[in-house]
Amino acid sequence: MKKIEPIPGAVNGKVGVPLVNAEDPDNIRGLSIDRIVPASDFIVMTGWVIGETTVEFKDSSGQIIVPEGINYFTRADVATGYGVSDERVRGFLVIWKRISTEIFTVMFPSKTDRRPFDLHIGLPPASSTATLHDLVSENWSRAGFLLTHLASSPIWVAAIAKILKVRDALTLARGHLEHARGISEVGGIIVGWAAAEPRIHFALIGDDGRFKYLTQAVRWNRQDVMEATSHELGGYAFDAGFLQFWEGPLRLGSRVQLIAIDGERAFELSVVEWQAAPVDPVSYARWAFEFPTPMNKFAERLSNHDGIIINYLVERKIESRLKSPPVVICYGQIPENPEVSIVIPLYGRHDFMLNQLLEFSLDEGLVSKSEIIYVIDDPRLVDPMSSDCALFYDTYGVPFKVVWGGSNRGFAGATNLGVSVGVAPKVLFLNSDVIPVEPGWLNAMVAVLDSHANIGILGARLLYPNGAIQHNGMDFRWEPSWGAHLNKHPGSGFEAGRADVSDVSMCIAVTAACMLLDRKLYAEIGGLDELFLIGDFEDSDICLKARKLGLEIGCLQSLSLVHLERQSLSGIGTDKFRDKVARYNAWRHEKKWGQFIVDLMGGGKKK
Amino acid sequence: MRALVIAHGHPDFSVGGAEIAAFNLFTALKRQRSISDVVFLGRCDHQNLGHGAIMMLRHGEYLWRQDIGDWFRLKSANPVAILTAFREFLQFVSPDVVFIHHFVHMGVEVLREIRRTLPQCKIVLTLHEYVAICNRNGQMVKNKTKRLCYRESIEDCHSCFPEYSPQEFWLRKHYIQRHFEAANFFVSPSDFLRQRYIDWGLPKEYTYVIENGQPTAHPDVANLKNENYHTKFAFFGQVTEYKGVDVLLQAMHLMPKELRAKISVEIHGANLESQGGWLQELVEKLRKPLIAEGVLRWVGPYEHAELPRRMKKVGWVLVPSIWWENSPMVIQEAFVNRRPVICAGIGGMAEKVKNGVDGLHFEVRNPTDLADKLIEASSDPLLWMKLVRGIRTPLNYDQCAEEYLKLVS
Repeated sequence: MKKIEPIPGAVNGKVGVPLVNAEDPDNIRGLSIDRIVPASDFIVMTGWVIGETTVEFKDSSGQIIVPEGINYFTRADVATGYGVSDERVRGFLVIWKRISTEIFTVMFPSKTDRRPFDLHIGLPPASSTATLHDLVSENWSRAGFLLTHLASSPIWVAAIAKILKVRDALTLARGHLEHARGISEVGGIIVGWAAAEPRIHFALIGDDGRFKYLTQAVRWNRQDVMEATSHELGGYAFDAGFLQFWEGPLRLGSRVQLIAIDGERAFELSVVEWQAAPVDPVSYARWAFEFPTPMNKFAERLSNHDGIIINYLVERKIESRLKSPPVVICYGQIPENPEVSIVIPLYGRHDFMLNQLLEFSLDEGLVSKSEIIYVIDDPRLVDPMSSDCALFYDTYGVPFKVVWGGSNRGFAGATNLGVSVGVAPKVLFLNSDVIPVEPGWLNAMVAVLDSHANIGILGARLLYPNGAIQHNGMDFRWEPSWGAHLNKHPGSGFEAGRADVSDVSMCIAVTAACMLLDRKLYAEIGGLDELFLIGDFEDSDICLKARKLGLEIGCLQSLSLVHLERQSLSGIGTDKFRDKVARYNAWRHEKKWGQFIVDLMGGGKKK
Repeated sequence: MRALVIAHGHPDFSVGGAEIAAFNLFTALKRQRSISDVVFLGRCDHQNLGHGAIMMLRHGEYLWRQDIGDWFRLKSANPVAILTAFREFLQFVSPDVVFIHHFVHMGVEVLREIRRTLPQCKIVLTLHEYVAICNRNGQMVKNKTKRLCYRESIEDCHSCFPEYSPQEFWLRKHYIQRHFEAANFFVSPSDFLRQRYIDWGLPKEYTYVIENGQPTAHPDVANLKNENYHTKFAFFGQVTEYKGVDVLLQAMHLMPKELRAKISVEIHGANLESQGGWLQELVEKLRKPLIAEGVLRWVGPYEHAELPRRMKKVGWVLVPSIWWENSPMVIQEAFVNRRPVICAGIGGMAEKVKNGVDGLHFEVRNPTDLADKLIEASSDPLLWMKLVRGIRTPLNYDQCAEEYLKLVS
């Protein structure tokens, strides 16, 4: 029996020193390690054995160590080389994770009574990438086995990804990557379809070796895929469509592969390059919301996939606003020490100003104690207003300011801008389509806010033009198909009772269409939340913030204003994009406030 | 007692007989002392109103934007709105009694919702056609052959609609009947329809006949003897194939020319242009020579308020419908204006018009028989006078409301 001294590692990871007992030609036994490659947390070893079907391993201290994974296969070349039959030779591929031994002992299984020799191998220093690539290429037909165990190591994954071949006819897996669009800092989404027999696993691999199984992707059915693959896959092609978030940082132009792992084999199915996604949040949403996520999975999609992208884009849009100060024009003499800043954003049309200024002109108390601030939130209004406002002042004699911030900011942003150019100790948010119909309304609201220390925010009763209630306080209703609490206006559409003798009723929240609060409270809260997409829920958000500070919300009952709110908020068949934007906002609001609302409305589990 | 009247339309926007009847009940209830408050809810399809939303129209009157989604089962297109907006509305109105004159265009689910939200409330369902029984526009006319249908059964209905199995018709009937069970009482304007519903499964002890109220009659006996009323005939209504205008025109053609020259026929009809091309062609072919002869006047559509004046210019009102009808408004209107009716002798028509007492029957869909009746009617003025005297004054609105209130007091 030949014996060999331990070999202290090898050059470039290649060991290749076989030990073969050739004394008995009918019973040749042998053992060899071909390669041993440490990289990141793993050590991968290949070799072969003659005369046994398995091998065992011990560490430096003589303890048996069990690998992460071991794969046996034929080695016809070795069989031919040593003149033995194929069945007597087994190749092996072994993967170790975080083994701290320096010397491996490779041996015949310990239960074998005649063990001709043990092979002692020292761990080589960290291999060059060439060696790693050589090992991987030599084992391309076992790429699935390698990936399954090495998925957490980008170095290994990247190397394996390079040698993947296109699938063969035996593997029942089909798939295609259709889009990969993202923003470098935050990440992007990958959209495509994949369908296979259940034993096959799909995964996405990035150029940098990042690996992700497709199990967390949002799935939906693709009728076109079902039809195209029905002869091969039948019912397995159901829910083939997918959308998967890929966390940043991303390098635009780098690639993503869709691969299929079929037992020990793996194949590449499709490749796509990262492209830039729209950076304007609404444009991103218009593009991304086209992908048909089933409605009952929409909230899940936002939570696990691109909710974070939209949020980032909205924040970025706000930060990138022009830092130059807004343009403020005063018409007439604004009162020097106003008590209330009335902030009115304008979008799309400004003819409401006529009706509002007309009403204001009849309300001496309002004109003497408030500064009226119109905020242009629509570039198309800048020119018409610059010609009309002087005429409005001359006609009605009501002084007012007009503010233009350079771009459209949405309701919350425009209102916050208007508040920032005012000085009065109280602020009143007023929608441009809310028209008072009796003077003294502002005085009444101020009096109530002043005389009720517990009330932080005061709203008002708003009626539709035909006299039905449009708003008389808001509360929340759990909407199961959205997984969120939605704002509800109880009594909306019903006949308004006579104005109530008791001046204020308490509610959960009130609309910002007509909302009065102290500037100090506004500042403490931080103003209206501008991070909802396009706009929504800002009023319930600010009310809940006030409640969190221990304050209550009231709604003035002694009079009403008219709100020309479009009555077209519908239960079914809405504009699909608008519906999804609303769902995004509801999801965001629910993340912030879900539990607080549940506790507020009476505790216990969510309905 | 607080009352709520629900209909599948509001007369401001929709002019069918059933919604007008429902609204008349609403206004009559306002005058009743035992009613402290009454509200009307009419379905609409106004695009500016969010789907499913309920909005006040004026004091005491509300509109509800709703639709049927599944006509086979009479299920609402917006069932969530029934559980939200409608439920909230019921709680807001809080009626002690609900008179519901329809669920079409809204959904049969409203019945169970009323019962669930207002457990003590009395619910009276008025049936104006056979839609719960018959999938074919609620008419009980066979689908392909257009023959009259005398009886429903899951196999018969499957023959009319092979695309729905008998099992599906059973499921339909089960679904609708279980919803009907929410009501306390059922009202039919005709005994004929009442009997059809009892055959279908409604309990006869809880199913009543109450005729639709009519405006108070103002009989004008003064000129009756001087004019040749007995030679003047008129048809009022939609010109659809079911109203039998083509049967009337054919009957006129079958009269001998010299007898036809003695009569005049007016057609006060609307919506011929919305009918199938074949009907429009047929009507045009039949009416052209009659108009040329001067015996037929095609007057065209009319506003409801013009009806009394137009009816009073003629002697006889013709109702040649080819289907059962229930209680055609035009018959009641003719009686209010003291005009006898010549009608097909089937269904609700034969019930409301008594042959030889206040009108004449002819064999349905038979122009020859109608021609004979036209000749008989126009030849003897004494016959006409006798039939005029035989006319009973229909219930007025207040009397109708009182009948309804008797059910629930």
